[in-house]
Amino acid sequence: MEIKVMQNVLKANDVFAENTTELLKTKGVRLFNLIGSPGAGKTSVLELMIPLLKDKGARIAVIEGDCATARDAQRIATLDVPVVQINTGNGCHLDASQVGKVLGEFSLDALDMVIIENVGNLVCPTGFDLGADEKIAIISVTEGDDKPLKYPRIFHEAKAVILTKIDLIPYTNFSLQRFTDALRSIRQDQELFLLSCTTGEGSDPLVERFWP
Amino acid sequence: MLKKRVASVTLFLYTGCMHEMSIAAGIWSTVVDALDSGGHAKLLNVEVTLGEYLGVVNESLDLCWEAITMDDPRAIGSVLTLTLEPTEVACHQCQQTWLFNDHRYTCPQCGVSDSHIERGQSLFVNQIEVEE
Repeated sequence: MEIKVMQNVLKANDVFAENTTELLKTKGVRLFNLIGSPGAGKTSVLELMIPLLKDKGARIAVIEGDCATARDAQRIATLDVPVVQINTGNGCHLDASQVGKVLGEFSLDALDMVIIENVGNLVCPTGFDLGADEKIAIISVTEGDDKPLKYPRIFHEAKAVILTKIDLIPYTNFSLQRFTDALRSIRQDQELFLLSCTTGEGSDPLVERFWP
Repeated sequence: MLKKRVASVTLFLYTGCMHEMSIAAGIWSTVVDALDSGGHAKLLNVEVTLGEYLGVVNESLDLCWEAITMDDPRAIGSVLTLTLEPTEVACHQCQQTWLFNDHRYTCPQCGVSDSHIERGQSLFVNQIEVEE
């Protein structure tokens, strides 16, 4: 016997995402979803940027997503901002219900932005809407200039791309021209930010982007 | 002090081994509702429309389905029948649409890369087949 169901399976996630968007809109809090491979430098970008943004007056909280450990949250906590670590076990991405639940840990009235550092993965987190204002892609020089072509989806969805470890370009075969061409073939209006967390080079435009 | 606070709010939220597991869990949650509400004892088949752009590996999804249904006697041995919804990209500049077969976001008509995904992200449980 066949039974009609006709149910949208992703609707549950979408409802959580919409609730998050609505809640943060009423609170005037912006939500960013940082996506990149393990080792791309997502936490290092936060360690560099958070003190600079705080100096400008931005009130920030961070949600850390990792399979295991609270190591990243401990790094962020030293910057004296509220932080919650979500451990996904073997899960490869955060979903909207997880983010919705941990938002209750923060005093949203005392915040201007919440930054989610998604589980290190260039593929799966892209497909799960967390209710963020925007997805930001983080990719490092050492991953290679062809990665936008090989993993295009995140670069199609993210208007802003942060290229980290630019101080290592002289020691690799990374071509900034090839990388830029690849990005533009996916999305012509992409904003590319070049950054070295070691030297601090490139941080000013990023601060301006996140806290205009 | 700070470290202690971090540890106290650490959550363990299991979502599965890969995104196929999340998708299998979502399908199963929908199917369970239908089984419960109809009082059905044996599930045979689940017909699913699956968007190509979700990037699901069919074999992985089957494996995850097996894993996620193994604790419910009603669903053991049931299978997923997938209908793939192709990915269609649409150009913001000239409104041309094209299939994402070659994974290109550049419009084949006007050559501009300014597009959105028009189709290919669906995940629908269309119907289930149960033993009468």
